[in-house]
Amino acid sequence: MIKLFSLKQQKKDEEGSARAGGSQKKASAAQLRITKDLNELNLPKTCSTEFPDPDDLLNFKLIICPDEGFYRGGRFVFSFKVGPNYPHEPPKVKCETAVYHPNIDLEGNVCLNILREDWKPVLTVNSIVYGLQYLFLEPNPEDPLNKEAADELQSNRRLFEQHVQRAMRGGQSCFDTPLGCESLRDDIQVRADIGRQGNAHRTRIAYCCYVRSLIASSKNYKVMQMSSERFYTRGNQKTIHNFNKL
Amino acid sequence: MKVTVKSWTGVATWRWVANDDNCGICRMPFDSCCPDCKLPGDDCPLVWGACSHCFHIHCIVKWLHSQPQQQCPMCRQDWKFNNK
Repeated sequence: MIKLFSLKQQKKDEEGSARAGGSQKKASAAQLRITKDLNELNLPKTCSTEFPDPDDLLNFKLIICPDEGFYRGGRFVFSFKVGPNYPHEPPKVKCETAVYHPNIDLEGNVCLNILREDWKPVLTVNSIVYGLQYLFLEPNPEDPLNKEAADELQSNRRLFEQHVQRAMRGGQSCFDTPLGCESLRDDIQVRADIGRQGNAHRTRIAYCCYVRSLIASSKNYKVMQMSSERFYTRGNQKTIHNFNKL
Repeated sequence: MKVTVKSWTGVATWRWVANDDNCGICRMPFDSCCPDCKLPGDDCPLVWGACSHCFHIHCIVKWLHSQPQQQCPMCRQDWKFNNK
């Protein structure tokens, strides 16, 4: 009899601890919602997702390889960060691949209405995927983040297309080099050489690489202003000096 | 044959009558509750807008509070609670 009671008690304890563990893992509203979004995700054949941490559904990557339009043949990686307030706030989406695009700036910010002012909670990850894919098929020069690209698209479509293609060839290998602080100097030199040899656009790519690598290697550098000619950085005179030498 | 009913127990089920199965905001079934609630039913009721779209009250109120303009997230018409 005593034994029976102790068994019962034991079982109760187990249940109690299981419940405690369960509540600890209880999914947040954002997690519940993103799970549903991802389950119902219907990706076009040009897109795929990647989960660096399979247990973390709130941070993932979307890879778009457009098969038509100006950007066909390219491969563009976007990072999605889903905040705790999802779906009341849109996910934070950044383009990790450098791209010459009127609606994507050199820091990877994406200008897409449903990611900002036109977000509403009935939209899903799928809506964003289609929105991003549409940006590559129909860049929108009316609402630019990269004004030069937008102006060029409006004034000379063929030149724009050439620059896009060139940026995808030259830019990508350039940007995708993993950067360590040690190799930074060499890296800048290499990129500066690329810049010198080529035309203005190549120079620009080299410069953006340079600034991106600064951002990647140190949080102290704040990019104050960017233009095709010069970048101003705050925090290190020597950097500015080296930079002017380029 | 005569049957005498000695006792009986009434059983009822309920469900929300809405034009959709799921809340567009949290994507949970209407017959379930919003993610912040534990029990479905009167504690987590549905509301309808004048535009006929329907949400968990907690979901739509949270959304309307975060917006400068009160618009239905489905159709962007001005949101008015439909007190029918």
